[in-house]
Amino acid sequence: MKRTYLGEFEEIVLLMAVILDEQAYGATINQEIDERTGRKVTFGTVHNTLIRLEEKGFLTSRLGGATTERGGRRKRIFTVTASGSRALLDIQQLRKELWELVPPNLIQLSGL
Amino acid sequence: MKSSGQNYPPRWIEKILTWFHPEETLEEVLGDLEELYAYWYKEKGSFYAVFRYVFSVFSVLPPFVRQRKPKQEYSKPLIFHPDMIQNYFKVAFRNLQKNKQYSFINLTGLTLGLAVAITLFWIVRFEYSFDNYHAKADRIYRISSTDRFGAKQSHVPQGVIKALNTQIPGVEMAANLQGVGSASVKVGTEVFDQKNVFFSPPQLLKILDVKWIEGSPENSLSAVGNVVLDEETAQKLFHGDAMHKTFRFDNKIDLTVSGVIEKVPSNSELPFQMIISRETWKRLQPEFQNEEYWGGGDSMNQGFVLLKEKGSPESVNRQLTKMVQKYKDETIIRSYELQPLSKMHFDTDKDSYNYSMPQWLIYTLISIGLFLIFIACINFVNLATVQAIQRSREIAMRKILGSGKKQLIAQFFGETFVLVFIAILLGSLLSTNLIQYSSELINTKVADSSVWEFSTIIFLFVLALVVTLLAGIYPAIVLTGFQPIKALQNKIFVPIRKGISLRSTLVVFQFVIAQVLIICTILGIKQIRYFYEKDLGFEKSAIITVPMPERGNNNLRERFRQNLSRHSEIKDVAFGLTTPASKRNHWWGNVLNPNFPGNEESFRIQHVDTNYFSFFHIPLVAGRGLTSSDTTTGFKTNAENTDVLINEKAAKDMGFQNPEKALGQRLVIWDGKATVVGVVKNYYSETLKGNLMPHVYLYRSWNFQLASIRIYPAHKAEAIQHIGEDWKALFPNNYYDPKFLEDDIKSFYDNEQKLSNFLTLFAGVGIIIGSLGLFGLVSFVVTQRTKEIGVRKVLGATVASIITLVSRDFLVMVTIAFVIASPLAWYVMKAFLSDYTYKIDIEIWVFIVAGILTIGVAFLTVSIQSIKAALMNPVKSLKSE
Repeated sequence: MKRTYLGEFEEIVLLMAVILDEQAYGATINQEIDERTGRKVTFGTVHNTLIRLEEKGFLTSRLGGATTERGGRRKRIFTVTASGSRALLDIQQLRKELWELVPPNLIQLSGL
Repeated sequence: MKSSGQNYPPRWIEKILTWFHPEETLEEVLGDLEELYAYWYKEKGSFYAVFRYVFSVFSVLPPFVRQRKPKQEYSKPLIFHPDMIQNYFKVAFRNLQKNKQYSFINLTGLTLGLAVAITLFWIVRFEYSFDNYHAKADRIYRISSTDRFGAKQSHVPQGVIKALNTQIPGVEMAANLQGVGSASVKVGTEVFDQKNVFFSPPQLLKILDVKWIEGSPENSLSAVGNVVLDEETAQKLFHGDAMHKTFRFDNKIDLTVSGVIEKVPSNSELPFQMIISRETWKRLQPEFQNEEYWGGGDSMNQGFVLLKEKGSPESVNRQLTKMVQKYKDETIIRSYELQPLSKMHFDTDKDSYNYSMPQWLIYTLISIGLFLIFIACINFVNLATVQAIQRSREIAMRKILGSGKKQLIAQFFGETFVLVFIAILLGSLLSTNLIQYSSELINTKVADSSVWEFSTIIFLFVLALVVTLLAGIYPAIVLTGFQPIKALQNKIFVPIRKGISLRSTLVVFQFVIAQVLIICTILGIKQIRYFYEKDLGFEKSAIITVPMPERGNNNLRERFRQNLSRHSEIKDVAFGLTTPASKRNHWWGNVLNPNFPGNEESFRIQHVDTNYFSFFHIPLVAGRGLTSSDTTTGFKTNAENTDVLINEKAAKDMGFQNPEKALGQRLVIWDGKATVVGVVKNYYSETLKGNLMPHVYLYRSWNFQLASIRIYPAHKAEAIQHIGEDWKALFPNNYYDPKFLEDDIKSFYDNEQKLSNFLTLFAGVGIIIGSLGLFGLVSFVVTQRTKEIGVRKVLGATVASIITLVSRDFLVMVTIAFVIASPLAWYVMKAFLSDYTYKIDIEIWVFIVAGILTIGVAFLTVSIQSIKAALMNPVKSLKSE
């Protein structure tokens, strides 16, 4: 099966978009990554990744209505597409399969 | 959150973001970052927030930021994609084929306009290229001077050259050049007429670039008898190898060829064909041997200077002008000025070795060329707007199928470009032919130069772009601006009669230009005819002039007179320095008399035979004419007191209103004493562009250089034959060159004649282009109103009423143009004629003729179409569609 590749950071951003559901846009995704992973990423990284994911067809976006917050500027809400969900599931499936192939004695899961 | 001002990020950094961030995502990014700022601020305070904010802003500036591509873009090819360009041209060609009539009109108009423009470009480029090919051109100057009467002079005395070479710093080299209009050259038994003969010292050919095939300035021009020929002349005289061969020059001296040069480019004011060493000139004209002499001069004897690298012409001017004070008594020149070699060609005050081109003539040509291009572009715009209706549906269709405005504009420019390109190709062909006639049309030798140089290609390219833009911009914008829905509903309406439309303005403008040209042409031709026909004060018809070699050697002259008198078709013969009017060979002298302001005046000195005045029918107003007793009195001898005649102008300058009073006045001419014994009536001795000159007439038989022979015009051919036989028998070693006096006088006005030739051409082209445009517009209106005309006819309209209906508007436009053009042309011609002392009146009938002519041509053009429309069978026209 032909697979679209998904980078590690892309995967995180895509997951965040799923998690945040209707509230997924640049600022919230950035905050969420900050809070949940502790990674201090620049906004540009998130912004660029979102655009790239959209180009790959994993996300669609629409401009939300204007609100009085954020200076009355509209936000771009991202929604995960079917192929986006598929990609996430695929990658999870792949990892699972690969983990099952790992010989148990080579990585001491609890030995650290 | 909003209430606290601290929660806002710094404005300046926001500004940077606004400036540089891609527009598509600017709004969301600004909002996101503001939200994040508030979040960071709440979390860790202002410093942290600002730090992260700035950092984030930079992460979304180019080159880091990823551009969000506008969604619709993928469906549109680039407007300059090769496939699209191909498509533009394909569509363009189809459209041109479909509308054959419009294409033909546009193409003819553009071709004519561009052909003239290209021809003019060649002429202007050529005229501006004069003498800039010399390697040291920027340091070479010609010496010009002003005499004490304030007149510009060309001649440069020997002493000035000597001083420049020895006393004035900043000068590398200076040299004289003596030109001779025409001379006889005898090789073996063959006699040739040789033009462009120069006497030059070796220095001059070190200053100027001349390509030597054999010889060098030092070896070939240092001794008496040395002569250098250009290849062409060598070929003419010796059919090839000319070195060391000998010929007889003007039956005076034998010259030996000591060098050969390549033909001098035609864009030179110094067209050397035969260069003789200056030592030879000194031998022939002993007065030139005194190198220290600051006086005297021949206007064909001019000076050239090569300055050192950093020499300034101003300082040389100052020093020469200062030095000339010392020689005040020797020379009439009061100040000297160095003129850059490149300016020499445009100086009409000098006596030219080649020809001069007045600047105003060039400017006139350039502006007329621009006007013609305009007229042609106007046709294009007008015909494009009338096609708008037919094309509006096509454009609407294209828009609906997804053409952007940019593509449509590109397509229209493509169409224009195809036409312009074809027009340029045809125009180049036409102008290549036209340029062959340029020397007859206007005084230029451009046809001798190579016109197809690199700059021509550049010019054509630029011309194509400019004309495409000029002609294409309006149609492109108007036609692409249509709302597709309206166009498909047939709601686009190009008004035919609604106030003053752009189209009628342009038509009026076109005809204003054409009519101004026509009026100027008629007036110009009239002025020239006036010059030709004006009574000059002497009888100029049926006179043949023949040069007398050896300054009219007494014995030969009398034999010539006797031989001629035997022929019945010859009326009379008179000898003199020149005829009453001549372009060359004026002798000037300072004449002293206490009655002149400042005791002295510059006179034109004429040497005349005793029958000169009766021959030319110049009446005597006081005293007596010269008699045979005057022929024996010596001038400047011990017995000196010559009887002389003056003209009325001279008498008046002496302060005598009544010429009788001038009789007996004593004059000193060139240090010789003379008494006025008669006064003759004024006549025009120069072109009518100038003023009357004071004259003095002396009997000097040693200087009768020209024979004037009056013949019976009915026996012209026999007369010319007899004169030739007699002359050749007496002067076998000289070139026989007879001329009609009337032709000579006509040649005074060569520049005017040639300009009027050009104007005629321009005016013709202008009116043709304008009429073509009208033709197109009318045929459009006729197709537009076919049904209306049909209905009118059915309802009983006459053919005449329909013709009026169709053509009235256009004739009104042309009439309005005439109303505007007349005062404009009047003003232009008034300015032009103000330079002439003797000029025609600008009469009303000229305007009427021009008006009738253009309106007539316009009417003819319009009526062809309107009659066709009027005669059309209404059954047919109403059935169509």
